[in-house]
Amino acid sequence: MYERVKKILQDYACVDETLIRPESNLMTDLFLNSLDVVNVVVEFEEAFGIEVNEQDIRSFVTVNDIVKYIEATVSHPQGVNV
Amino acid sequence: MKPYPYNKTRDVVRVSDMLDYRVQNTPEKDAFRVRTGKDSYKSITWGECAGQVDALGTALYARGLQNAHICVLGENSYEWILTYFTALCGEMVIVPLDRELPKEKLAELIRFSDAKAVMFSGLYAGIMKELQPGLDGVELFCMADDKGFTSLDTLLEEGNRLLAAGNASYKNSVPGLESLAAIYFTSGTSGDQKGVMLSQKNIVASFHGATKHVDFGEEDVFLSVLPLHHAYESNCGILAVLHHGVVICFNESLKQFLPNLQLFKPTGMSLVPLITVTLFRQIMDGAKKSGKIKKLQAGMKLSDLLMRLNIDVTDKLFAEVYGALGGRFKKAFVGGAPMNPAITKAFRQLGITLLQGYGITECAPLVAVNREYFYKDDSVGPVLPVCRVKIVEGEVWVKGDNVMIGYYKNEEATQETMEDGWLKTGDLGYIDMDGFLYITGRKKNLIILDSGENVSPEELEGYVIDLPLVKEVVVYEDSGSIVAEIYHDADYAAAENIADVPGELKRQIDDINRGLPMYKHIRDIRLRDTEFEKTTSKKIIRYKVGAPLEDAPDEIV
Repeated sequence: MYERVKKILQDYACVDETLIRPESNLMTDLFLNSLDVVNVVVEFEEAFGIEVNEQDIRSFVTVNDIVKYIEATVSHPQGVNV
Repeated sequence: MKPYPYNKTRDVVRVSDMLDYRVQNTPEKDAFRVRTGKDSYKSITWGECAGQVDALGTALYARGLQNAHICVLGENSYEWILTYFTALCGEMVIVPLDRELPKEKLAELIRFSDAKAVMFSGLYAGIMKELQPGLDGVELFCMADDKGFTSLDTLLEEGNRLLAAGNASYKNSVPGLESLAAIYFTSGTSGDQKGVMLSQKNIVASFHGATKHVDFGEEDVFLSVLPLHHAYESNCGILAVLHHGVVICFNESLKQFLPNLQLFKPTGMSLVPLITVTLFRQIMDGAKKSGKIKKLQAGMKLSDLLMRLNIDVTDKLFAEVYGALGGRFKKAFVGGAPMNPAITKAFRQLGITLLQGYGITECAPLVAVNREYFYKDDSVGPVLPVCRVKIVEGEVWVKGDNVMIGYYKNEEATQETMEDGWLKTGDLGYIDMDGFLYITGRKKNLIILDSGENVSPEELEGYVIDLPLVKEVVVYEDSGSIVAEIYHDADYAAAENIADVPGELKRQIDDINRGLPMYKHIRDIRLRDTEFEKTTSKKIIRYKVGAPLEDAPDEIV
């Protein structure tokens, strides 16, 4: 899961692989703006067959936030609070 | 480049005049298009829209809501605009609410605005259910059916029955030109939101002024992307272009932006720099990934050269770029924050015109905007014919029909902001010899982001100072990012055995960020070794912190 998330982020953000760590801040460390975060979430939706509520996107601050959200959503397709 | 006559537009006195003209002259023409499926949309004609405005207005009047304040809350949608139109075409006051606000703040604004009703989208049904017990005397209407509230469809049915029975109370009512028509909330410098009171005259002056400067035609299609609770979108992005007879489509979610470009194939949009910069980067990244970057760059150079000879070959050169944007996108208003002139120029080389403008909610909102054939990319354009601008000690002051009535229930703030009919914008700027307005900075302490959102540093400082590890903090903007500069409490860190102070602060501030709209996220933390410099009254001297402000006035503390 983490490696797939990392690959999508790396392709989108065009940053060096070493910058993408679980604790990396999407905006500060990967240089994404708020619209980029929405765009990359759309790519996660397609890759993992999930739907991310727009309100939940605001909780994505680090790479790990995304990984945890996807893991929880994939294992509980009805949606869970993470 | 020379000034040229204003676009010829029909005179309009009230918002309802625009609707009446369209109903009488183009009732079968599409006014709006709404996505219904992955590859499908439905149209709403001017005739249908006007019929629904009359029905909704009649139902609301029958429920005792004539002259009432009506809040509207939700994603960009036809139902949002229907509510907006209905209030503005009758004697009601529309109060658009920011859908990103936490529920407690929404309840506070509903009560503060003295609303008698809230119309909200289905996404907010759960929140409104929670808020309902604290909203005595406020009628709650849901744009969707089956959510446990009176639905918009129910109101339309009620209204149609009353109209059929001869009820003309709404149709015959005429809103006063000077009376209150809308309350828009805007970020104040103290962190509290202020309600900007606009009249019919203010709203009409602003959107009519926009149509005098920027031309669109009945064949154009607009995609409404920016949040409708901003006067910039609901007035410039909707009313101004509707006055030109343009069809409006709705981008209900940023996630749907790229699919909606393909579905609706818009010719125009109103945008903020954040979106234009991201689109430009995506165009260039796409060309790099497909190995066509050199071809694209050569095409842009060639296009630039040929445009100077008045030869336009952009359609042939950039078909792929247009395809990614739906195929027809050629023009946009850009406002809300300063636009990088290099991006504007690059889009022009691609055959896409970005017209930077300037406005503030207190001016309904438009004050100036560049024109298609009279522009300067580093300026916000010539001032609209509906107002005058003067520069007082470097600050931009505005006077005219677009200037607000005042702040709702805040006479003190109104007195501070208005002087002899002039509105003190708080923005610093100048006007050049050709009449172009330039904005150079902010007099007041407010962060303007490239998304057009305004953020009060004091609000964020309030969250950060609550952390025990923080002794002093100042929040400011640097290179487009929100920065928190912190003097930490070393005694607390020692007592709690916190060895990695930067790491701990980052974790704690990330927690704060998770509870905030994304545009308010603190993106950078800077630690300092000494306390902030203070005035004799022990206030931090803000302008001496972080990125230096040019011409920082002494009073900003």
